[in-house]
Amino acid sequence: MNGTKTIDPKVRARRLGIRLALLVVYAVALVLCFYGGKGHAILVDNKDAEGAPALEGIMVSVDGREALELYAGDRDRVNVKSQRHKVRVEDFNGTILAERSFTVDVDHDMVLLSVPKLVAGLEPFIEKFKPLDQALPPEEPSTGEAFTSPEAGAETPSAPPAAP
Amino acid sequence: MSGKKSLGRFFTENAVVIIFLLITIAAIPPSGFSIQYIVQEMITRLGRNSFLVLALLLPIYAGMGLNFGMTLGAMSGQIGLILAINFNVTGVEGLVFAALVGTPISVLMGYVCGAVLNKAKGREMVTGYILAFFINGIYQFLVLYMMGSVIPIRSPAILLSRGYGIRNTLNLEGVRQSLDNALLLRLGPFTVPIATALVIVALCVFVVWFKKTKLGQDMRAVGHDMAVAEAAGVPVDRTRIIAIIISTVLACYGQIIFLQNMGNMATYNAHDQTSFFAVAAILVGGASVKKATIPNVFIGVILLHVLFVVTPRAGQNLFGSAMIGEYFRQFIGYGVIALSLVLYAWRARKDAARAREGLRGAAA
Amino acid sequence: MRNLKQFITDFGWPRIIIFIFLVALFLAAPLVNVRLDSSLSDVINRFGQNAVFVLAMVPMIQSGCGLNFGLSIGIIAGLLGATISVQLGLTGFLGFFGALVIATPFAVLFGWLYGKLLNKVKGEEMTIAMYVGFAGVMFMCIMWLVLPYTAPTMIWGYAGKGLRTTITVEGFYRRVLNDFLAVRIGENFVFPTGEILFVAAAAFLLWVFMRTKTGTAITAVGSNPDYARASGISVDRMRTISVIISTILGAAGILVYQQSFGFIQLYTAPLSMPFAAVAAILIGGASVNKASMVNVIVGAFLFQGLLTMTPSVINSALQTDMSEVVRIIVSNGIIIYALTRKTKVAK
Repeated sequence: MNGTKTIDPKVRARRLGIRLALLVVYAVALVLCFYGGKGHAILVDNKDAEGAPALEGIMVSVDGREALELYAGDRDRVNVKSQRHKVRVEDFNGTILAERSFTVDVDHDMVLLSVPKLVAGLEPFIEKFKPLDQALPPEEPSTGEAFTSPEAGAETPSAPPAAP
Repeated sequence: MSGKKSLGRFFTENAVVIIFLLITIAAIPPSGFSIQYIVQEMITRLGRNSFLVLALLLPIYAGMGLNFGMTLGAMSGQIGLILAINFNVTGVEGLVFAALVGTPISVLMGYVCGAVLNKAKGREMVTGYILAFFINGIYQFLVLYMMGSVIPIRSPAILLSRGYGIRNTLNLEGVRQSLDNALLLRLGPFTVPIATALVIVALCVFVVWFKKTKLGQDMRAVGHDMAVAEAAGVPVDRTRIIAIIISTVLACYGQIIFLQNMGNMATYNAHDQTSFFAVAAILVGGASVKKATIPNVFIGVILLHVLFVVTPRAGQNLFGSAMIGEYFRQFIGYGVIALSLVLYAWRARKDAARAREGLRGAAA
Repeated sequence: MRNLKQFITDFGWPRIIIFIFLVALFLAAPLVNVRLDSSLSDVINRFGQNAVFVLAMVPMIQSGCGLNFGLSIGIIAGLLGATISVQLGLTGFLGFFGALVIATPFAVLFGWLYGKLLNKVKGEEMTIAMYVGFAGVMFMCIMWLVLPYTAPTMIWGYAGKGLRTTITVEGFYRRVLNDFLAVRIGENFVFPTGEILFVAAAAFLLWVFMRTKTGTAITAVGSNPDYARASGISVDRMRTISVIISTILGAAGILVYQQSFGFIQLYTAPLSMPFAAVAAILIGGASVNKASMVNVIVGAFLFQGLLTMTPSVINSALQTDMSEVVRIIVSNGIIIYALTRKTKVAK
């Protein structure tokens, strides 16, 4: 029906413009969500590093959150979103030892932040962390039929859904 | 006389709601749950399920019956979530990311579904139901065989140990309840997820607004009588496809909201019962194949889920077997769908017969 | 050339593709070390196992009730017959035919009620049939838990009540039809004569019935209800009869299936069974309102052939189990194909 109607070229141009704009908005939103929502685990590490021995007792706060208490040899974990963050290191008396902002590579899900290096001013104090052997959670056996029946539409009562 | 008649009419028209209300009220005391517990549970479940049920409205307006093809949207949403988990996109951004990824997929799925249903006019419901099975096959092919082998997956933690295919259960830790917890309101003893509620209200506003647009009016016309609409210059097939596309996209978002609340995703089963629960809810709320309103949605979600919460425990307490309650609620769910379809078809036939008789009387 | 084109449009592309696919599977089988004789034996056995279900589709399609998505109603009747037969301790042929005799009155009763219901909802039969079937299965789930069965082979040992999910028919009527006059050729090929005879007898009886006065009346109701009404046929009565017959065949179908499979499957197992039967008859060339014996036999053979051959061949070739996915896509694809054909829906 619509196809047979002749469309005013102005309207057509405007339509095209709106569609293109929508496409751009879509792409921008996707990128913003990706970078803004990208999660990183920061391992705050207070162990001996090259050229920087571990510190006695410190308080480390990332992005102004509740500070972590770390003694020499301790390591703790902070989960953050997006890439730019601030870290502040104090000793137990409240003297600020270091305060810096840093960026995490978007591709690194887990990074190691070495506090001794940070305090000593050594670069890079952030590096990608690779777990030695990733302990995967135990895997349920994948049987051929357990989940593949199309009519399972109704087949769950033997294992009732926790909360439908 | 007319008072008595209209009372009778009220009962026949709301038979499903009334029967359901009675069963539900009867099942509450033996369950032993406190009213406070049930109310909190209802608040949670309204947030979890309303969006999905609202997705059913537009196809009903367009006269296409209950959109069992909404499962297609649910699967699109799940693909979005799988990718969000894969890229470790967390929080509300993770949900928006999943929704953005799911949108084009669900638009495509909605188009396919609408086109198929246009070829099966008069039996949209059963066709949609089977179409959901069919696409489920393709979904499994994609997720169980293609992901990790053809489609690159960067996070090995979500893959099966054989190296390809997504695990049976996916932990949605990064996005778990991120929408619900974005804005929580404590109201006396209850916790209300305001952000989720706002999203649902926004959708209701959209539906109300949409009905008033030209397209919405066209949809009503198509739903009322396709031949008349066609004669009046409404592009019937196109309008029907649009109704299904919108419904599918909404189902995609609805499934994402549902799963963020659950916190875990059964990769290959999560969508199985989506349409069953949504359809049962809207029918319990007093909707029919041809007529549904926003209040139907909320009444239905509350009634259905009160019953779902109380029956397993009631079964346990009355018969000493939780399974009886579990089967009972499934029976009730399917039974309600069957009953309201039967009542509707039966009434439609009676109306048609009456109209025919009236015509004959006029001719004579 | 024209004839070929006509044949293709009549038969439909999906069926041709499935047929070619199946032939390809048979040709490929030896290449991946799948034995043809044992595969063929499997296909024939499963054909016999499922053909009665497919047969059950015919009367309702012919009477204009559409595809019987509520076949589970008949299956439930069959399950009642089977469990009562085991409860009574009937064995061998007595067990099987006893179960059939016990199941029949249930099937007639359920079919009568189910038919009455479908008469009230003409034009919406298929969706409603599906949900009535689902609701029936879930209702029986509760019944299996509370009905007073006592045979120790059937009830849960620790609870002392409630039927088990799967009950073996070993020692009752396992393989009574399959082993009756079975012909063994070579090491891997067995022809289940009794089973095939039973299927043939059922098909023949239905064929004869469809040619009796009642049978032709049923077909008339399906192809042109107004004309049938004008010539004095009671439309509702014929439809009810067709539903009852379909339900009885569903009950017989599950019994044949059990004796070959070896187990009675209760609770939610019947939920998915109608879909396989629907897919099979459609693959055989039936449409939503027309079906013949040829459709049944071709369909059951093609569908079961596909189900048997896909896992063995594809798995050996690719080292992965894709059979479920293939089954889902093919069986539901063919149902959609049939539902979207332009056919006159009998109202």
